[in-house]
Amino acid sequence: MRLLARALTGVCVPALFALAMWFTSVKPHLDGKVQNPLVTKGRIGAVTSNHVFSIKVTRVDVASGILRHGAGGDRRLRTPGVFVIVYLEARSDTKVVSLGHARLATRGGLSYAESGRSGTISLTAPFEPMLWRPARFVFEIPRNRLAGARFIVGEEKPIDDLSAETQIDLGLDAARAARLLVHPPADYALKQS
Amino acid sequence: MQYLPDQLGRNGTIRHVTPVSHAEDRSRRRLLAAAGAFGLLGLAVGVTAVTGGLRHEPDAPLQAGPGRAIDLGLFRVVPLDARMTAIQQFGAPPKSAITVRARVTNLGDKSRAVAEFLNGVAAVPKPGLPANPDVLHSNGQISGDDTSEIHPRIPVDVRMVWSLPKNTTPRAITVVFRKWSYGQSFTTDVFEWTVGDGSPVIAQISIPVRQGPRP
Repeated sequence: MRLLARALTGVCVPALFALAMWFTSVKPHLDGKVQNPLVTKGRIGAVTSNHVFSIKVTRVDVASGILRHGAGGDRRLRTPGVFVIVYLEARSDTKVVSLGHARLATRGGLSYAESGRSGTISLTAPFEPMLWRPARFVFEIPRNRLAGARFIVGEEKPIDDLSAETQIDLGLDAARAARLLVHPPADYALKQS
Repeated sequence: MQYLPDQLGRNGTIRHVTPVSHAEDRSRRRLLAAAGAFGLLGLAVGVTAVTGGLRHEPDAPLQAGPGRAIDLGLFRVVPLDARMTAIQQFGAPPKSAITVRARVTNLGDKSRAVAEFLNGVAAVPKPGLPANPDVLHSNGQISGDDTSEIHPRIPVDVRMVWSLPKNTTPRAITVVFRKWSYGQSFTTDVFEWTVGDGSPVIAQISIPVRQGPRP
């Protein structure tokens, strides 16, 4: 019995030492997010307002290729995933505002910025107070990230601490996403609105 | 042999008790053994700490050729090939350059600019003299079209360009990839991936250069 106790002590003491040493290297992931933008949530088809601007997402299209018109002729942009094109109307509430930091937030915590392709520049002219104007954003995401995707847009500021931001649920549940992915158009032409 | 008063019975008889000296000896031996064990343990901990601890030390940079996948933490890179090209600079005549292609996949949780990825890449024309790629002429391509973004889980072919001195035609180029590390900013509470000239080198890839058109 005494031998067992000694053996147990001989195992426990080094283990506790090792645990103490491991604790000195642990850095807790404490993210206060105290400077994050102030988010207002809404749904597609409804006007969502924050203290700076209002938007209404009118339409979401999905495509496997985008037709780009250029001086050298038409060209099709292809993607291994899908293009997601978000159409909306926006207006400022008090002063001229430009929209920026647009992204698609998908399930699993992944966030996709605008596509970055040369033929898919977003339409985001500055928005005047009380005047609704159309806008368009183009994203490129993997096919398995479409379901549950949410559109997020804020003010175009280099530092967006505590700025206004709006998050829109695009209504892309699993069933709707599956329908959109069956035969997405391969030569989609971007629209003005 | 000494006995304590309470060990002595009446009439000077001695009760049958364990002699004090034996008990003392045993406890002294136990104390010495425990002290010795703790001392050895403390010495082992001290020596381990001084020599770097039990944390796994990174191995020497991987030395390999193209085609091998390399994990940089934030990106996974597969160097593909390298060829001689010509680049046009503002108003100047075309200049010789090397273009190195690599398939890059973003393993993070948000999109990154191609220019960000290039921060962790350098070429080594001479030992100890790393050169960063030309950001203006380097770009990404998806399905043959230019892009400035590397989106999560969408592979991008990144073309990294290094300009060359006149009349230089190297047979091979060594490209160095540095490890991205994830941590909290010193001044804010934001967690972010970072890389810099002081980041550890993960891989040195030597790629043969295919000759192409000269300027």
